[in-house]
Amino acid sequence: EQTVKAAWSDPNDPQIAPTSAFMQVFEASLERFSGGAFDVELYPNGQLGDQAAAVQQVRRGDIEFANVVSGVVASLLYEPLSVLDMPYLFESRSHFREAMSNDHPYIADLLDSVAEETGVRILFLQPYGFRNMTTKETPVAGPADLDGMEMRTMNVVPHQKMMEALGANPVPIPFLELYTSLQTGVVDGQENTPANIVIQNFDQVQGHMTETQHVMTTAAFITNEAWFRGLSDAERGAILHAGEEAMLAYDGVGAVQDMLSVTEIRDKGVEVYTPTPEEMEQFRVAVAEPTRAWAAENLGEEFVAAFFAHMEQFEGAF
Amino acid sequence: MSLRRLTWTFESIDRAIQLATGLAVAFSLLVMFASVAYLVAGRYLFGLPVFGGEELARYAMIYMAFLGASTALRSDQHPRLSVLYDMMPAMAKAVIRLGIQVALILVALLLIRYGYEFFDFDGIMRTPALRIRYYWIFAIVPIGGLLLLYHIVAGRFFPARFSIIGNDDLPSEKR
Amino acid sequence: MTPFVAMLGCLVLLVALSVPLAFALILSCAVYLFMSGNSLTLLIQQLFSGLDIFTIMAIPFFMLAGDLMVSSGTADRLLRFAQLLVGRLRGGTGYVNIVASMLFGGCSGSAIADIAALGRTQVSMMEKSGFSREFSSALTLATSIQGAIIPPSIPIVLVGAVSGTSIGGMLIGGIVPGLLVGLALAIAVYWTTRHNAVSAGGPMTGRQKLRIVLESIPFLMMPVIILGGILSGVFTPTEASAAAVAWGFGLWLFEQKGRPEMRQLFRILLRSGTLSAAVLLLTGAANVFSWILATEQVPAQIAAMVFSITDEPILVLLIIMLFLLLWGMVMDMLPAIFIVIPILLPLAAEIGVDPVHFGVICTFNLVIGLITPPYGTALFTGSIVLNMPIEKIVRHILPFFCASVVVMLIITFVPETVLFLPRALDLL
Ligand code: NA
Ligand code: NA
Repeated sequence: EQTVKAAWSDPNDPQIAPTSAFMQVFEASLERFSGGAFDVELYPNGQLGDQAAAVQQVRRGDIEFANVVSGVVASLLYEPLSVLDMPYLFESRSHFREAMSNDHPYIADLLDSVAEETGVRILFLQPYGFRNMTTKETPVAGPADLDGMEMRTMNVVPHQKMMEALGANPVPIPFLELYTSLQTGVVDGQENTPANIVIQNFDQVQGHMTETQHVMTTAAFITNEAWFRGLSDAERGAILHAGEEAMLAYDGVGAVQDMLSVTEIRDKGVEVYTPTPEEMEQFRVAVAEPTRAWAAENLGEEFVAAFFAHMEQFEGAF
Repeated sequence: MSLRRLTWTFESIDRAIQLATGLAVAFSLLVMFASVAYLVAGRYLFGLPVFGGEELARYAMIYMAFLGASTALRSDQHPRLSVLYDMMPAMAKAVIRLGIQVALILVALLLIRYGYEFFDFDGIMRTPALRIRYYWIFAIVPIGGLLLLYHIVAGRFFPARFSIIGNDDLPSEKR
Repeated sequence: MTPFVAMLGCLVLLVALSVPLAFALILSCAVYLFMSGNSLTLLIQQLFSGLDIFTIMAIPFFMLAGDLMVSSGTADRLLRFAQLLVGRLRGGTGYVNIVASMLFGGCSGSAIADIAALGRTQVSMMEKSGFSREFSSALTLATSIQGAIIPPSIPIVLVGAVSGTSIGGMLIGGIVPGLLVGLALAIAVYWTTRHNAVSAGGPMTGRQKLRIVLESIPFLMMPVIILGGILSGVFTPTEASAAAVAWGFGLWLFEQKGRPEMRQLFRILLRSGTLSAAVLLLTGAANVFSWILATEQVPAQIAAMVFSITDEPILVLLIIMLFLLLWGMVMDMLPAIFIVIPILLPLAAEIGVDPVHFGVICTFNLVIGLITPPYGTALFTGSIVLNMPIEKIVRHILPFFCASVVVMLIITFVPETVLFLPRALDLL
């Protein structure tokens, strides 16, 4: 029996956090499918360190599995992967799951090159959640409303470029200080997944949320490539199978939580606005060119073209 | 060269190294302050690229921490519980002091050996905002370890140049 | 012997032999990682990522700001200002001591800084008006609690960093407990001096008063900048600590009459850098330790242990507070913040204590430990700075200790005393 460690940063409640649902199902399934060859130890809540630390620990083989946001892998180790942080790639969770499935040779090749170059294998790409914008005072319907606003963004370049394209000033506030900063007005607003907005209580300090759904935060379930390659075929098969099983839970809880979170945010008195199709188009158009130009310049025109060629197959189907 | 002359030479070198370490600590703190000041100014002067400022400040702090481990050691400012030690007879104290030296040296060696491994293996990553390799940042761990090792050993032979609380050999300040 | 037991044994031994805490922690963690077959690079990685946190930058900044203030003569001015406020009372210098520490607490982030900056002057001032040296020293140490709990507060920043709690909310939450402890100490002074012959300060002319007020204003601005900056949304709490440095730097330049002595600046930077590096190294070492605690499931086991005794929230809270108080007596505050708080936090969450409230009462509790024997950092510093044997101070510190414990009980069981201000200011 081999003890393996799996770490992630969400609280360990499978009813609330898709990642936690995934991990718990993964634990149970892997122990069963492998006939008890693996004993999975779960470390939720960032107990073993933040996401960057988790990536490092997986890469060095200190722990076997982690669930992190793909942007962390991209920024630390494999910049082309930040193409997934570009705005308006996906219409829905099912769109994401279809387009990012390992069954497509394009995705399989992409994940292979990540593994080869970094030693970190992404076993599954996961739709962590769409990001929406929230503001304290000003309701936001279209890009024009964001003009000159100070919006907190993560240290993710495509997100910053997107904010700039919308006329807002992207401000890097560390996550630990975000609540206070929203409260006191250091920044006018932020963007996040509805689930995070609820978990972090941002609804208490924000007056408006616009369902811009501008970025699908992509998560990645990762393992150490060398360790994974060293396993027997049966063991690798059990891991992948357990992962497939766990993805069912991920998708289900994710979809349910999308709905519940938005309802909860609305119930807590936040004005939730759903942009009209025309307004959504304005957002899309405003950010498309600048972010694409950034991607071409930084990730290589060829790579970006191939990525969008892959994405084109799914257009209009969701 | 006489023994006294040799000692004098080494002591001068040690004083220079102490000064250099101290200056590096002070400089890191200044960089840290300047970066956060820039970060705040940048937010109010629309258009300044402030994303790097936060990162630079953090890394300057990390430099300061690993460099300052040495200055803190030299001036005996690392928090420790000396109640039991103080109650010991002089003989035992001498033995314990030796043991402490060994412990300190072991930690310095850990920082050097595994800090280098860390630098070597994980340094290939890039920082989120500045997009520089982590080599630049992780390098301070083994370097800090080397410096620490030097100051642990040198501290056995030569006096500390700066005392953090109290007087040191800098000209006295006007009051 | 399991790796975990070996680690604890190693830690206890090294700490008892007075190996610096950070080094003792690093070595014992290395023993654990080695014995359990983990890579020792993990030690470095956790050490590093424990430091790689934006909010702990407030520690060097608060230290530097405090040092710049001291070097520009804050202590004298605040003392005079306090004399103006309460010096005319009977036993006035005792109250001056309290008020001056309270004002200085708004500039400095630590109890030690308070003692080092104000101690000598406060004691000699009290001695002149008829207090005994021992009593004056004891009071000086006790009032230093305010420095650590009234914002800016380094221990609160540390607790915030290890627990992920809103630092802004906790800093503001420290104000009322800080004022309460001042009040309690004043009552204790009144009580112990009611039969003593202590004189009051002499009268001041209006001109003198005006001069004192004018001279003190720039120094009293420090808390205004820190708190006002945070509350008005100009700064995040960490940025506010840097703003405090900028203000302190301005005061220092002013004090130097525009001809700054670079050597003094170097000394100040080196001192703050060195002292905070020592704390930061501990922060990093504690992060390695917490990785091990997590993999050993220690918090869960402790929680199970406590809940097997009782699951009544009030009793659980009382157990926690009692434990911290005992810890504070025999051990230093820093390892408690780094090692014990992360263990206790899940317990607090389970009994439904607000994290901001919990952070503030724990900090307050541990700060009291600074003045209690046998191990009290403020006690040691005070004995050096005031040149007075520890046991003589200790004999007189009991009433102040009791007064502080009463305040601690009040803020523990009346959460609103802590939470009301941050809530009123919408920081919760
Ligand atoms: Na303070
Ligand atoms: Na104590």
